[in-house]
Amino acid sequence: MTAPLLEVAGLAKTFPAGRRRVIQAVDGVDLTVHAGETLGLVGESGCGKSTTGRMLVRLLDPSAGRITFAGQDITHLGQRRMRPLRRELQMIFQDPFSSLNPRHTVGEIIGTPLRILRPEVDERAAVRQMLDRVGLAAEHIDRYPHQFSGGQAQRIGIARALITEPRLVVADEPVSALDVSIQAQIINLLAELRRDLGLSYVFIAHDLAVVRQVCTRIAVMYLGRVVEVADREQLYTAPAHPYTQALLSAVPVPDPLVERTRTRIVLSGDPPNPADPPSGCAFRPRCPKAADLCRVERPELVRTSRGVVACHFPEPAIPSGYEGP
Amino acid sequence: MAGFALRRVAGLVLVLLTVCAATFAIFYLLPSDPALQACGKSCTTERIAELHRQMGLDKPVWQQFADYLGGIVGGRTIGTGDLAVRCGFPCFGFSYQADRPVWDLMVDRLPTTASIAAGAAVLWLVIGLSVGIGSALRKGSGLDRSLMAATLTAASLPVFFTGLMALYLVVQVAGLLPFPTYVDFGDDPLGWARNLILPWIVLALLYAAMYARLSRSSMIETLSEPYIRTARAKGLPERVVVIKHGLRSALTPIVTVFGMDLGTLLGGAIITESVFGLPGIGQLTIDAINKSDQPVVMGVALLAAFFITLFTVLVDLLYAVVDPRVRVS
Amino acid sequence: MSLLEVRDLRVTFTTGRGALRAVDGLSFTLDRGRTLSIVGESGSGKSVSSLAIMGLHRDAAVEGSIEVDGVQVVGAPADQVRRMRGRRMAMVFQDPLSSLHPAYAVGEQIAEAYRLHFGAGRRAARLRAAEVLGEVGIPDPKRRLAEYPHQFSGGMRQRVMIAMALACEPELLIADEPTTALDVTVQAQILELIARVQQDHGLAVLMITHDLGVVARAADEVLIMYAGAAVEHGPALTVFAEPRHPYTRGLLNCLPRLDGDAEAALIPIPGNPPSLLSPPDGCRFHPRCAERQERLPCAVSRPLLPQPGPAHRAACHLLEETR
Repeated sequence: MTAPLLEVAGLAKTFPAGRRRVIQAVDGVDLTVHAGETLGLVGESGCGKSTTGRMLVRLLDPSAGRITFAGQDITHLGQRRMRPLRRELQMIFQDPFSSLNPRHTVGEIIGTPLRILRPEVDERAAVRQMLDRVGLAAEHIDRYPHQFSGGQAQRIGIARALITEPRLVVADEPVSALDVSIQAQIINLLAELRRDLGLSYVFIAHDLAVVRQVCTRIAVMYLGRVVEVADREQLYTAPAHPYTQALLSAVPVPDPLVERTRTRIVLSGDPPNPADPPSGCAFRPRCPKAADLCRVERPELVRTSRGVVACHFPEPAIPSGYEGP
Repeated sequence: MAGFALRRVAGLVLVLLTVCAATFAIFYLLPSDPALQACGKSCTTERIAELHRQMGLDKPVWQQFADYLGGIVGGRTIGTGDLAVRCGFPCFGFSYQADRPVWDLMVDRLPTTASIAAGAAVLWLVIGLSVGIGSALRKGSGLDRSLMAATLTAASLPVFFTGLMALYLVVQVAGLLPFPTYVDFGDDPLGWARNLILPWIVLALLYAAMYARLSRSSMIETLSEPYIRTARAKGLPERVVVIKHGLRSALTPIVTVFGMDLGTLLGGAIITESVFGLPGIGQLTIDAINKSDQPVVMGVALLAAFFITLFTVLVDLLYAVVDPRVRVS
Repeated sequence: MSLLEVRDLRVTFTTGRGALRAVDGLSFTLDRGRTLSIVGESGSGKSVSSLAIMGLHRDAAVEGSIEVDGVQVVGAPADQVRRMRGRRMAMVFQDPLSSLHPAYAVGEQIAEAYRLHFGAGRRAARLRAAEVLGEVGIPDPKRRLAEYPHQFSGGMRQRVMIAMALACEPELLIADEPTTALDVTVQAQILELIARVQQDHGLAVLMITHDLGVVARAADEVLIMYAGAAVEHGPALTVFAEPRHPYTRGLLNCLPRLDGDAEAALIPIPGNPPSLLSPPDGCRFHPRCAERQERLPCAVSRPLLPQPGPAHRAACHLLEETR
């Protein structure tokens, strides 16, 4: 097997929260992304998935841990030495409008990274080509972001990320701000671009149905930690962590016949506050299987017979909730 | 809450110390020598040295600063030998010009300034908030547009212009009011108000215009909040929605600015006092600067800093009362 | 008689670039104990319709007829509609954090409507607030009355919103995207809660959502809106099983789902929803419609949902009932 494109070990991020208190937003995350694959990073709000994504492209500096991209340790690279890598590591954001400068034309937005990172290229021609690539018209080049719909604006965001021909793109909730009919367009576009350009994605999302459509491997996060990593097939048909199970069971299926007959695991309570995490396993207060051990000892992410999971009592068999196709 | 208050007061003391040190440093670095001025025309080097000793200017600077601070906290004796004078607590030194303790001068002048500031503040709050809220509730209407045009005009007229115009028209031409002098409130409340009404109106006009614009935008922003829609969805009458739910939030930025403005004004409404010839802190400041009366300038600088920081702290504490989010975190 | 009867509802905003008709001829009825879901994408007019029912539009022209338990809302004196709000019909909004006043304790926010509508005293209103907080599953309700919204978690805040809506025992509950701002595990709790209080109180629930999964779970009936008008209306089971309108079919096809084929590409609906400032002639969906036919007047005349018509009906020239 070839070396992974991106390897992350023990990644952590703390944010100060008032006097002498910190929020442990990300707490020891290990991930690998192989060339050509799409790794899904899923979890609920506050689980640290977006913070992790921002650290991967060095938009945020990690508090601890190591990030290796294409064999090079990039954890502590300064601005100058990071610059050639920016070309290869790009990001797509959730809200297409607030992440595009309203006073710049589409040509400027997409062209700027090119001018900085690949000055040898004919900027305008490349931008036109990229516009066509993402399904926009070449004459859109001199318009401003507010003249576009949400779906088109997200296409601009994608073009801006892809113009430098990156190898890895971190997409942070790229379709969650879009209407359903537009979501599918963008999902298909991302898949097409991955195939044609040989990209790898880290796809951050909370919508498990979208993740299933897009990702080949998925890491589930809960309160700053990865609790389960599995291939799509395994995660969706035989989740090992009780949280993954509950999460899948909570996603409504757009079919009343299925919805009204399936048994659901409804978790009580809300995801915990990262400023005040529970002892032991973070999922313990909401977990139907919690035992004394879970209160005392935090389970580590380990490879078991049931896959890579951080749980003292992983699910032994097919879950009772959702039955796969 | 108590800890919060304590931290804020400690911060206040720290700010005052910094201001104290900064003003002291500025005066120490200035080329002017107060002894030289006090000495007069027939001055000799011996006489200057003598004066330096008396004024304590021969001591090292840190010693002078420590003496100054000590005086504020506990009073001190200035000078040596027969010429020594006791300067009681709180001692900000002696005025070179008036030969009186700076503190006494400031205490004399403060009621005038406080009267101007307080009266004007009441006026501008009432006028500014009513205009601002009225405008916000009728956003985009003809009334809103004309009110906002009026506030823009009022805000762009300087006090020395409106003040002189008011004096000329009301006092000189119409003779409706006497030329303002300061009458103590305790002696004659009616006369106090009659004499101050013009300065109040002139000063309030400027601030009311700014407060109207501020409260309008604050109110418009608040009224578009989802929780206002919730209040309406509950069936609350519009009056309750606007006052109880809207105004409560819209006031927050206004309170902040109000605290700072009031603090600044208490440090001397310089232009207003000059225009109307009222003997307040502002006048004292101008006189002291003109005559290089260092101890007085330092005194009023500290007084102004004190009021500004005090009101900032008061606003912070008020916030904690008004906004539960501040209180808890 | 139905609790809620909406007939030919039209809501028009005046903008700098002309009149914008956000809702153009919407009709439906809703009975006590039933849940109707209005589904649509942003700009479809679903939220605008719900605000019109509550009489909450302040600068839009509302025309047509909205009767709540036989009482006309459209054109009624403002004070009369205000007395119905919170009392006969209550609303739960999308984002509970911004929908609750940050500076008032939740007890006060719940109690004030009760005091207003029932003329109750402070003590009685407080008791009622504690009672409804308990009913929506907030532990230790008496103590939590004095707490502020920011001290509650996201799911608990939405429970507070529901408690507030229930305080005056309304008959109609409008829930506008009640779970969209919530995490999926919390969403499930809130949907269960709404279903429970509906049963307990025999409420008519109007659920506004963009999420077909939520509809499948919660709705008895579905009304699909596109560009300001209803395109399909019917029992949830049949609408999902045999969607009649090409737009509904398109929505169901383009939706990634847990039980779908993950390898197959989604079938998106091409293009974007039209601008309501200048909607297309004919069927508003025809520029994006994969099934439009030249022999039919798709581009010329606007198909309307037949009123009255079969229980499951759609507004499309392809269908018998529309012609």
